[in-house]
Amino acid sequence: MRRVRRAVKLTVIYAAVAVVLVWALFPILWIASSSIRPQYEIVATPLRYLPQTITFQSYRSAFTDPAFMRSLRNTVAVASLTTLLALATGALAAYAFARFDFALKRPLFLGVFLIRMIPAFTLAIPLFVTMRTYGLIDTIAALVLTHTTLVLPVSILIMRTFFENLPTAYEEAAMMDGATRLQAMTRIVLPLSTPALMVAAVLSMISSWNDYLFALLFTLSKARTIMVAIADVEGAFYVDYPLIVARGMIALIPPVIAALAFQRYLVRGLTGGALTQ
Amino acid sequence: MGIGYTRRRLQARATPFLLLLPALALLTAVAGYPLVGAARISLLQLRINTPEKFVGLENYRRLLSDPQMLQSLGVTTVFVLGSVTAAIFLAYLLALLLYQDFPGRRIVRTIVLIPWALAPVVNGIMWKSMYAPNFGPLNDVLNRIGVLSQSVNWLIDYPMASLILAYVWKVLPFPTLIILAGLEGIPHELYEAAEVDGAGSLTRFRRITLPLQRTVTLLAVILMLVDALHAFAVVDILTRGGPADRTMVLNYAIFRTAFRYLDFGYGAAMAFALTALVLVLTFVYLRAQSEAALATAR
Repeated sequence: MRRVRRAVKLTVIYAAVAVVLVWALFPILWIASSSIRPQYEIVATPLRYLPQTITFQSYRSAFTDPAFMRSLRNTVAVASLTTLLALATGALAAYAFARFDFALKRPLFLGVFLIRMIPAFTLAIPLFVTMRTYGLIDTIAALVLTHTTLVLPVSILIMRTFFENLPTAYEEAAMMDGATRLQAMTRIVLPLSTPALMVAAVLSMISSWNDYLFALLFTLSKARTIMVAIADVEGAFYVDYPLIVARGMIALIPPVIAALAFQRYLVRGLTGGALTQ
Repeated sequence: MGIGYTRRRLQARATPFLLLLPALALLTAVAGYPLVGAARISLLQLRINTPEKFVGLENYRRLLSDPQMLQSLGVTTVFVLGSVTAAIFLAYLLALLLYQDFPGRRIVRTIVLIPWALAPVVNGIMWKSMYAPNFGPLNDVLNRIGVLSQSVNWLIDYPMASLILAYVWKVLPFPTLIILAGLEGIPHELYEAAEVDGAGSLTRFRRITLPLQRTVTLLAVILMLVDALHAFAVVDILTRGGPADRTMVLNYAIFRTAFRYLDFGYGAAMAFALTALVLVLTFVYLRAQSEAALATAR
């Protein structure tokens, strides 16, 4: 009786799992399949879900288009610089919040948290006006500074929580032996905190890579990122459908791989940020 | 703790501020200063290539009497409430499924996370292709199974529903993870004790899971509300606020005012209205969170 019930339960579960997998994967598989076929096949009726002719022409076009390649290089540069800067400044700040008691600690921490909640345009409008005045529009630096600020609060939150749960004995021993605070932090705390650093790095990288709003407003052509490039889909005469989705696939792959590779840590980091304080 | 350690601590009074300096400098320059700047701009008449002029609260007065603003607030309410309701409901179903113990659970949990990592722009492009009137799979599937007899132009005929579906598809993993973490925090003994007392699975869900999940659900709801208020890229790719402003959510209306009409002063005032809304939600969130912290401490 129990075994029958278990079998019925598993059948129901797997039926639900099938629905969930279709829901989560079908749209992605659809654009993946559209990206590897010729245009004529996409506009043919009846609609086919698997390509009849497989061609990587669209990917070739994307990777040989100088403007697209520049946007890809810009995105890699912005995302890596943002991640490095957010980790470096964020780790120091998180360490201060985790290990010290100081005046204004609580209001400062609340301030950092609130920044995460401010609507983007509240910052984007004055930043745009200022950057325009100082000629910072369309520079990589403008985007890196903006992205770093946007991802800093979450990075600080994640690293602070991790540092707080780390025993202080190791650092204290190192400082007894004459190490400075900074040495104790960089040589002892940081190596022990790899999981938290990874989560903060992956989250920073993904947010920067995926950002559209600031990239759209702050760049024109020189510093244009991949999101702005692929959003600009209207062709002069006709719409090259496979090319649009192929470029979308290229923009999709890095963050998805990063998320999957660090999935276990990410889940803890994401929910930890929301559930523990 | 030796005396040397205490003295070092005293000497280190400045240390935390030095550690905080780089991050705070960035946050002040790129968030604090603009925030003040936005407040200033909202009191100006500031358009591109015309000299700025101080107009006091004029922009805010205009905000209250602007029929487009009222319409946009209505659209925003429908989008936000629709998205959050759908997302929380689906997240519960999904979390309850992923909570079950079945072979392959880990891989399913991983796959379900994928939409979260997608860029909103890619999500928009993807759903535009799903909704395509003639070559899109949505019409094709619904025609084949007999739900539709002809193709529907989703983004023109049902722009709001289409927008909500595309948005919810991408954000769903996030509330799911939060709710799942909450479910896994409920001690098993509670369920076992209830089972011994003869409670069926539905009763257990209603009497144990739901009450204990109250704060977790509230947190997920507020985080989703704030996120939905911020939706931008998906709107820009799918509908651009149209047709006829039917999906002109507040965030997109701000974008149009400031960066299409280049009316920065009024745009900043609109942005502040949205900020006020988000701050109210944030304080509810913080209160709920300290409640949750108290509950776990007990």
